[in-house]
Amino acid sequence: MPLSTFFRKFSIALCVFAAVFLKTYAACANDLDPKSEPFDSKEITFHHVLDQYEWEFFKKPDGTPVAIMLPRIIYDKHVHKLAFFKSTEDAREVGFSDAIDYNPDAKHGDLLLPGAKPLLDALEKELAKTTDPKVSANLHKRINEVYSEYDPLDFSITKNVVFMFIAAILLLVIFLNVAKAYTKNKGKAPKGVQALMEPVVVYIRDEVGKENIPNMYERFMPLLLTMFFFILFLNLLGLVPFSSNVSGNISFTLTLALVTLFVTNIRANKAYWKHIFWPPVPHFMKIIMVPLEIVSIFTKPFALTIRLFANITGGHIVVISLISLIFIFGKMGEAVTTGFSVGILSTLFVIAIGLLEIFVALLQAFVFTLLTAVFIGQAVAEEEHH
Amino acid sequence: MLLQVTSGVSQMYGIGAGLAAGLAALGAGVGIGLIGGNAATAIARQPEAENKIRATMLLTAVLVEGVALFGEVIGFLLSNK
Repeated sequence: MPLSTFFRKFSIALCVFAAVFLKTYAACANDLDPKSEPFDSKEITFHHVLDQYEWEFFKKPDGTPVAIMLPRIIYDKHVHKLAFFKSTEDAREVGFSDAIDYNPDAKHGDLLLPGAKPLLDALEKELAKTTDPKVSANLHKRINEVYSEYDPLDFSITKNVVFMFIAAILLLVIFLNVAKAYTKNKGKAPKGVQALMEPVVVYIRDEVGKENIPNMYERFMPLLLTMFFFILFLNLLGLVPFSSNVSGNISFTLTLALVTLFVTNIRANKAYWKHIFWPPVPHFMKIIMVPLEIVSIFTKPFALTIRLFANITGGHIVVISLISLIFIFGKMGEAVTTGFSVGILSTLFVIAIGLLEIFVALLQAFVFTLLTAVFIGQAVAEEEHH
Repeated sequence: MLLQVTSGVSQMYGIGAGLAAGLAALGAGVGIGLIGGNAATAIARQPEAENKIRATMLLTAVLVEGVALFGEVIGFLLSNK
């Protein structure tokens, strides 16, 4: 093997390992709490997996987070105006109150419109005084009413949105450069990033596009390629330390699946609808088949949603659980060495899982694109004459 | 009535969650094993059709995996009750 090839391979391997180690380190730094409170792995897992209103890096030993505050954009339905704030703190200063005080299901940072706090506080005080179950049921109902009245439409730029922007910018930069390279290197072999992307694009075109939508694949290639690379970039970005779990967010995957649903059904031809509403089976079978076919229109994107969401979130949860083990063991006994030795084992596992996650990131992006192509292919296939 | 029953056995949610996820994984494991094994046999018989077999295998495996993930999600939801 030539030395340069060896060095290239070595540096790639080093990058992969550095990424995994840093991820471990980042998670550790986040959760290393010097006070000997019981370790709550569930809360930490959710904190890592869910979306946030700030981009948190780690917590200082005294508990103050080191984070970039992200802007809040809230639609105030009482005055019909969009309100912009630099951070959640700024919004609190002008009278927005925290939803989590009144609703345990609310997320940290969810806000209620100005004016909610005095009303809700008064109701809560009354609730604390009363013992009559009828009155307290009434008060609960009233609290829910006030809560939903002051629950705003929140368009805030969350951590996930920031990472979607990052992925979009990366995609734009990379692919505009690649596109430019095709005019510059016309007639020559691809170079650099172009050479990296070309086989992937060609693979998606041949194995996904042509294979499943043989009659009109050119039309859907932009959609399929955008989906593939967008999901792939977000999956891989999710593995980077301090980053966000975008493709493991169910609203993100649902939106992508809805795109598939709309494209499939809007582009569908007559044969597809005939297959759903008048399948070529004996008449009495139609009673069973037609409802099933109609339901299957919606189960397909539903399965897409759950598949991407569960795979990516599952991977993140496994990594965080393995890291949590260190702290669970570390706080169990007096011996510090327990946590230390478990730590070595956990880190090894995390590396293994991390490498698997890189594969899963690729596979899930591919699978989402493949299934989209299969569904579109079914919808636009020309009717076969037997 | 039902509320009382469920609140009385709230400790059982964990067991239910584990069973849901575990059994779904069991079924999907058998399924994906069969798919992979048969694909290997098929490729051994017809090496020239490898690409087509691989694509079919992947597609079927993904559909089976979807079922396992439903089980996992149900387990996850139960465990958070």
